[in-house]
Amino acid sequence: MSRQEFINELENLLANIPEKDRQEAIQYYQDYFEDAGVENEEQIIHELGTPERVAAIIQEDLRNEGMKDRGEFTEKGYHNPAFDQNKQDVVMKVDPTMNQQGNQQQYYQQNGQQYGQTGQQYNQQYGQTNGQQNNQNQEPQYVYEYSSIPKVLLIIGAVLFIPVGIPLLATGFGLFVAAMAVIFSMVVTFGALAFGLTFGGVAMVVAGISQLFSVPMYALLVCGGGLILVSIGLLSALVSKIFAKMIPMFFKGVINLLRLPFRRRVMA
Amino acid sequence: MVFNTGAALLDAIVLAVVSKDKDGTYGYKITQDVQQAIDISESTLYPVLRRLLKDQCLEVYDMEFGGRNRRYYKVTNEGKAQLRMYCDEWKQYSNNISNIFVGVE
Repeated sequence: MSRQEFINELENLLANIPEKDRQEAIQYYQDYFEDAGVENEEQIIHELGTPERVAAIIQEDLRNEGMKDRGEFTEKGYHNPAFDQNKQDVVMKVDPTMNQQGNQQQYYQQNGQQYGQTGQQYNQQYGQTNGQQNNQNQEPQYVYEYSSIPKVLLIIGAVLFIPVGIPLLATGFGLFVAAMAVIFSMVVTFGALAFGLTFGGVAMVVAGISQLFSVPMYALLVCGGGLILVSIGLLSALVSKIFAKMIPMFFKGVINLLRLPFRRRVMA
Repeated sequence: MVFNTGAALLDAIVLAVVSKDKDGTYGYKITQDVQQAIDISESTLYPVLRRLLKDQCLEVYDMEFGGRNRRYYKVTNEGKAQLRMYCDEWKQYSNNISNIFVGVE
């Protein structure tokens, strides 16, 4: 690149600054080349670097007018981290689908060698906390979870409770057995009833039909009666079934009651 | 060169260099003289001179030389006061650092 090319390129690059400033800058560098002499022209172009660099320095200076802390001057020229092309700008976007990993810290890094005593420190920490995982769109569901922590307390309590506890527990147990017995007898009763009535009813119906042609009125009576018995029998079968179901329900209920102190509600 | 020069120190150096000439000097020569003290890029000096001019520590005048106008920079009274302040600051600053370095193996 020749001197004239350099100057022309510089002038183009400074098109965005006020004309007065541009004229002054161009004049300065033209004088500079003049004073250096033709023999030094190549060396100066080499030391100046590129027109882009010179233009950037001028523009940065105009921008920083009035500011106290500007960049600093190094042997490689005016260094302002603002237009350092090697800078690593690391800013991470918050990714809402990321799992909770605690703080994500990113560092705004510079070319470390460029800092001197009076230089400016550009050390900024960008801390970003990842948001809570928010992917639950449906209703939160609760289940029961059994923890064993109260067990220890219970054991201690039980030991202390023995004098009162044993008769109490015994009574409870007795009541439980009695209830079970009642229910069981119900099941048996209704079961037997169902069995008997259904069979008897069917038998009556059959008998009635057989007599239908000889003694019609009587036969019909018998049939009707038989059908009634059948229906009652089926009904008691149903009742027996219900009672039968009650036994395991009862058991479960008592067990849940006993587990009550251990119970915790947990989200599914 | 290991240590980098801050803006204030550079101002001080440029003022000192220009003040050595009673009638002032021109851009190219200033740059050469400054480079005897510190390694600095040529493109650096223009903003410094401009700033010192704006802060009225330097003034300019044009003088003919070899058929063209050459721009000369001269230290103002304000500039001289500023330079004195810089020199005092530097004395203190460099002494403090030198003291720290004393006795280092």
